[in-house]
Amino acid sequence: MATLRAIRKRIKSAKNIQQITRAMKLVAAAKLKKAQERILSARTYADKIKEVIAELIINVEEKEYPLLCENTEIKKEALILITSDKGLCGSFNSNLIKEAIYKLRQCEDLNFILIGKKGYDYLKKFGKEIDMFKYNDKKIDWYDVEEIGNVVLNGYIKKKYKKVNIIYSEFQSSLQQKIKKEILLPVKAEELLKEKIVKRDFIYEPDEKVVLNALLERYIKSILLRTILESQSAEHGVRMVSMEMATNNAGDMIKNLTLLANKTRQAAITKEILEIVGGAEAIKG
Amino acid sequence: MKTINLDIATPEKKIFSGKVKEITAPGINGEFGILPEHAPFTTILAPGVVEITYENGKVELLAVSGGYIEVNREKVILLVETAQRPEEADIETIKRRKEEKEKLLKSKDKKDVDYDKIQIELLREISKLKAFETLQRRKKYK
Repeated sequence: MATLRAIRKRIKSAKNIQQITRAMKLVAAAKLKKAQERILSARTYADKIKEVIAELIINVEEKEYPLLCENTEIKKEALILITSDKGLCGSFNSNLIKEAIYKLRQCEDLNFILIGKKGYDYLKKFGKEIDMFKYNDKKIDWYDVEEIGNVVLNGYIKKKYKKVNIIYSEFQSSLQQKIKKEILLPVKAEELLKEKIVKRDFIYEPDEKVVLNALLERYIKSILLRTILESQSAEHGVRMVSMEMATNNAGDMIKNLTLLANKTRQAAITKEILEIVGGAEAIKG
Repeated sequence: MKTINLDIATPEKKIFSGKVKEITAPGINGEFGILPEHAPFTTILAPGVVEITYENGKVELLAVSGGYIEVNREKVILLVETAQRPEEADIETIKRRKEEKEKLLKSKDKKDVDYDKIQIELLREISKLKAFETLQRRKKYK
């Protein structure tokens, strides 16, 4: 049986851990709120672009736009994987990496574009080409997105990739993480057409083709920004929940250990009394 | 008095929403102005200066790095990648940063330099510089 002192030491360390996890939970909650605000403020731009593209895309020949048609003659595909930089968020990253490996099994010739350190640390061992790596922290902004976007778009236009896939987590509620697998390129016209389309009487300058081409590139980049922000929200949500659970578990542990400590203490006292009584009996006798 | 409802949004946030009297913007085919009740049209913007005249006659200039503008019957929507007010940046810093980057680009022997990244940053500084030079010229003219 453990000594009383050892048990007390364990109680103390469990209390320390509980304090840390509780603090981390609060930090994650604050960061979650900020990340969601960023999503909301990015929405105006993304929605507007989507609306205009949907309107323009109905009347176009897909062949004229490299971003709309699949490069069927090439085998190489690209995969953008968005993970987090830091751990302590449950199975958040391992779920994402699992999906990426599943994709890797389907398609051997795969180039990675990795956002987030955890995914990079794991996938660099596979010996696949990594076309781009970015840290996924709160400082990530439009400039970084532009860089990633340019790598993806250039690769696609120069017919380096057949398709560009993206795997990320979407924020649903802080309780669950929803992993999304989407095809970023080629842009699927049908999906855009699902939105309600308002046909407006517009003059496009210089012409519709130039406007659409420029907007498609921005559309891809705005999707990238959205997915990154979504995955950051999801990360903070998952971290909040897992830290909450860790705090509760530490609480349970403290409770059990306190009980054990009390029992041990009582046992020791009983033993001492017995010894004294026994000693007194022996002297009497 | 007739006014225009103007919205300016960057990918990261909405930076302006309100009523204005007049807008001048750099289209890719040249600069154009918008007054209330303009016919609906859209175009792509080049990097340059957007001039906004408020209802009270105050003029504000914004350095933008390209984007998209839509004019419809209800409002004008300006989508730009970056927008900066001239008081937020000074021309000397931009010039210095531009020179630093050019120097870095020339020193091809260094291995720890990400040339692609610097190239992009350099282009951005140049477009900003261009915007602010236009700005200064215009101030003199006035």
